[in-house]
Amino acid sequence: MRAVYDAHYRLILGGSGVVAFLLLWEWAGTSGAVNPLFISSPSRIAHAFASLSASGELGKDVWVSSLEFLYGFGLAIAVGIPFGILMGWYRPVEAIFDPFVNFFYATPRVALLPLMIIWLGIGMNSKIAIVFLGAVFAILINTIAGVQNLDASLLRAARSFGATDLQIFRTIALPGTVPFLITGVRLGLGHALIGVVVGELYAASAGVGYLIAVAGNTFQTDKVFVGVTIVAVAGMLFTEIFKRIESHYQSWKPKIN
Amino acid sequence: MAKLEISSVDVEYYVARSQQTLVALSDVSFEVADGEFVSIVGPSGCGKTTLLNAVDGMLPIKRGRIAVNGRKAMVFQSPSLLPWRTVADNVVYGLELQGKRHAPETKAKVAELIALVGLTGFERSYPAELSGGMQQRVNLARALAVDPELLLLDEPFAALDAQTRELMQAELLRIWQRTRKTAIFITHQIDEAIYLSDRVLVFGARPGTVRASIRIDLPRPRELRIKRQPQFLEYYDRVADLLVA
Repeated sequence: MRAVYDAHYRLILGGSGVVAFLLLWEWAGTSGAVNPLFISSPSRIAHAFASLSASGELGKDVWVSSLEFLYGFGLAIAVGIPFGILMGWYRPVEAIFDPFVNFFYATPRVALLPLMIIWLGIGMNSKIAIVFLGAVFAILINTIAGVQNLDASLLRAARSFGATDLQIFRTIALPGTVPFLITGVRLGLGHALIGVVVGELYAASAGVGYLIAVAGNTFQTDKVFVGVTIVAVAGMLFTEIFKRIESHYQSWKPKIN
Repeated sequence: MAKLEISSVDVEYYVARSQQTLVALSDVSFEVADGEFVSIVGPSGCGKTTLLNAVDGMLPIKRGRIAVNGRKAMVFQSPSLLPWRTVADNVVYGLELQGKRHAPETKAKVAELIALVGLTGFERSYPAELSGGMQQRVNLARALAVDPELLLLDEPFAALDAQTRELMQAELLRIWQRTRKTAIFITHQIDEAIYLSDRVLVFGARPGTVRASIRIDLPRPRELRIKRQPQFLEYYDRVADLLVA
């Protein structure tokens, strides 16, 4: 018994905390201690989830948000990584673009939403753009750092063995940058999720953020929580996946005991 | 033909901060014969590593001529192994750059070299899992893999503790005895230079130049205890006197 607890104490304690919280919430919401209009309750949320799923409404919203996320995030990776390598490798390229990268990285990208909507309308494109802008700079900056932090002694060794620039790029720059690059992608992911939700909250015609906005405006707290939960679960899932990928690619680093 | 011919070489650096030209090497001339093991000793800043970098083709020379007759390979002071590659994949690196990674003889050659440097069983280990001495063994195997005719060793044991260092000296001699590669070994330890070499070049500093060339007539194969013999100690004193002179 003791051994089981020692091995899984985090799971046991964390799980108990969550269960206790849900029970308390359920009690507060249903007993009338707190008006359910404000806090809803787990059972009401589950119920709302079931009816939204059944009507197909939720499926459509999740689909739209997923597409916006995937397109925007995919584009951010496709642009951020090659461009980051370019900027890390060639100092003049970095010098030219550095002010712009800094400007955008320092700006909360959601502040650009009104512009995106003027340019691209309230459909998916404006959201894809904001997701892209949200994610691309984290990826870019980490990739640049990765390339710039390459071990000079490795480059020196490769040159001594007669490596061409292309070989140096492939055998040293690329693998040496991978851990940084994945960190950038993981950080970009958080920004991308914010982009989707805030973008849809602001102006949209479908999506999970849109669902939250509409439900909120009409005091349907249950539905708001359904939307929030979906976003939270997606965020936790993606972050966990990238943490695994990250630790996989860092397996050659010394193990810290 | 000598494996390495260096004649009247000058190397200069421009130091941006003080806006001065620093003469790192001045009128350096010597030859290394085929199969010869030559050590270069000198105080810090005497340009020994500079010279090796110039021989490696990584540094332009101001005057003179460096002729390397054959393929060269460098063993670096810091092991500079690719941390994301296993021992075997690091050893094969030089061959891979020459497009020989998948050559039929490569696999056997890598295994043979790993055995030669005493790392059998560690083929799949990563550099971070190895001790400093073991990393330098990989560094050496990687250089030997490209089958160099001239081996350049830049203070490869400088970062090791005293005991490991002695062990690695003996190991290097054992490996050298088997491969008989022409070698230039940079060090600032006198006993290391004498123990390993057929000839010791003593460098003076600022600007770096060859002060003396001392032939070491100690029988081979040499064991570590040779370091305590009178003849060895005589060589030691001679080199030491030249260094402080």
